[in-house]
Amino acid sequence: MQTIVDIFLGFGVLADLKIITFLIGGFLIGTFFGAMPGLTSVLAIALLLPFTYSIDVVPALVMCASIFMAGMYSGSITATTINIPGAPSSMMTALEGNALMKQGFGANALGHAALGSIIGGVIGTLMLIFLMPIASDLALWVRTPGKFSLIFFALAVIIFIDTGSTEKSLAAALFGIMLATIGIDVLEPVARINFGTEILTQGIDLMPLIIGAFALSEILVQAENWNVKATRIDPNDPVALIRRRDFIPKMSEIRQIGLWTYLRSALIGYSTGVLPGAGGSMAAFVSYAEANRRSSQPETFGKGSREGIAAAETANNAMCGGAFVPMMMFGIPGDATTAVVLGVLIINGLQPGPQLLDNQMDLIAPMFGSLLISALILIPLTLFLMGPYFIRIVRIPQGLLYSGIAVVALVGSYVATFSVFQMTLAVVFGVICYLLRREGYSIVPLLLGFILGPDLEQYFRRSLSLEDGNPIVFITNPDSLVFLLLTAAFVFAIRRRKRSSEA
Amino acid sequence: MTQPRSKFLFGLSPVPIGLAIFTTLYLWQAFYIRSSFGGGQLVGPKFLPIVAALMMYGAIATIVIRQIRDKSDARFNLQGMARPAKVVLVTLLYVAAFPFIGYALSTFPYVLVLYFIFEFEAKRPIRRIGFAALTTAVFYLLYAVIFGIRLPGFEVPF
Repeated sequence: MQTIVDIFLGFGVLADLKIITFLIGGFLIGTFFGAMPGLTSVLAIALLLPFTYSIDVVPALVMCASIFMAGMYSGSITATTINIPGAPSSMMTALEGNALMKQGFGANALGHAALGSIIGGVIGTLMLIFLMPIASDLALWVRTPGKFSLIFFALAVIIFIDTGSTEKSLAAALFGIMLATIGIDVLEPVARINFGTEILTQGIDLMPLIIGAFALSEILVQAENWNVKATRIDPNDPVALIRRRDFIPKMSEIRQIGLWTYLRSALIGYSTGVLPGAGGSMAAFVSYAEANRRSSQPETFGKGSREGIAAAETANNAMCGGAFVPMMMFGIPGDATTAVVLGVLIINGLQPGPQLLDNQMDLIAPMFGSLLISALILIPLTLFLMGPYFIRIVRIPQGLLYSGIAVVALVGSYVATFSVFQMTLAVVFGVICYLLRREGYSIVPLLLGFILGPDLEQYFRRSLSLEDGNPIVFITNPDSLVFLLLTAAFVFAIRRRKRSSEA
Repeated sequence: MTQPRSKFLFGLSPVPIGLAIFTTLYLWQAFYIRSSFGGGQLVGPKFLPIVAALMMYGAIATIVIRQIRDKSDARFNLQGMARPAKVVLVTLLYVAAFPFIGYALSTFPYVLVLYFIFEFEAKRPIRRIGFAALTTAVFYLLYAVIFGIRLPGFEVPF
């Protein structure tokens, strides 16, 4: 209980004008990146990463949280207006929202998307805050063999959950793990895979990998697809004209969607967020499918269902709260965005774990506050003030946009450590990740393999050394056994789902 | 849409080949790892590298076999890679020049060339130059003025 009180007391830091500026700035950046097709909130936070060397940790975390929440919400903007999801998690919103847009109810659809995002974001954040002490106690219960099994579970889920080829996800994750072993060993003062060079003895930093994987590879992908023209909106098209008062959803429509739809979707979103690697897309899809199944009007789905929009958007914003749980308690990112946020924590010397709540509450609580304020205040405010202008976001020339991103990415990778080697590494990883993406390899397993690989190895070797090298310790230890059984159950369930969808 | 089989690498993707080369070099280096506690331990600093490398070989073999068997799979081709290759080349030149000729002198031409590659303001070269200068200035403002970061200036290499 005291932990919860401390968290709410920590919100007071947000009263500082400088922090508020970062919060609002982050929200606007997240809205822009989330709305623009081809850009994501992950990219926004990846570009922010080098700046965290120059700013305090509290504004950095506040900004990351607001970018995350904004990015999840703003994908619905272009999804509804021009049928191009700004974020993968808005695919279902594109299906329903754009259908409503064509019927002349575009503003209404955006209003329902915003309402779902507000409710999901608030519930997800409150669940994060109120369940955090329980998660913290649970984290203390997990011993060294259990930590290995938990990370193994996380990597297995990420590899098997990927919609593409499992072998390619495995290869990507292994590639990340192998990159992470370059440098000094996790337990002994031994250089590994350095080819006798001093520079590789220092290891590979997380930042050039993130910049290369998310920013530079995206630029190369966009360069390859350059002949694809973005949909242009005729300024005289009446469908494109949206009025502010039309954004407010009608009470009759909200009653028809029903409180249970919102609550159930929020719970699905939060729970999905806790699962490593699942992300907003899965949260939105599962919630949408469940809403379709339970709806009293299933025939409206696919033709402009407000219930479908509410379910998808509530879930993907509730996911934001859930994704922070494994990241903060175990250092296991819930999705790609929290993987990069974990990078921000590590760069600023913060170690994930239960001690984070005990010792660093003054740094973490403002981040929770940022999630809450972004969901409760900034989403409706942004929609009402800027809603009629959202459509113009996609009119920004992409040549201008991607050139700017290239400069921010490269100069950012330099200023963090003043190292040209880091810049070069970012370019190398950008090329590698572009080729991987081109051939259907997912980048998320690569990134998570890189982040989790050292801990996986460390806990494995420490567990064996505690039991004189006997691997039975992973079975005899109850927490380890639980996670190994969970791994088997999830892998079985995911493979069965994949087989039935292929049939 | 199924793409025609390319003559490059018989249509096979170069990614598994690249991964195999990397894994072989990696494994070669892994055998040189020596524990600081002497021999005798099975699970030491070289354990995970060797296991990861062997698993990677297995994954690569599965991917290649699947690719050869699945004739309907889209084949690797070089189509569309010209523009990304240009971006990579100009980016590498930018990275090489950045510490020596400084932020402004390297970033302005870099941005200008990127605009050219992405066909931004293709019919208005004066505006293109103007935007390149503006972009360079805006990011200088962001890094050097707002965040107070020292960006490299022109350095005489001798």
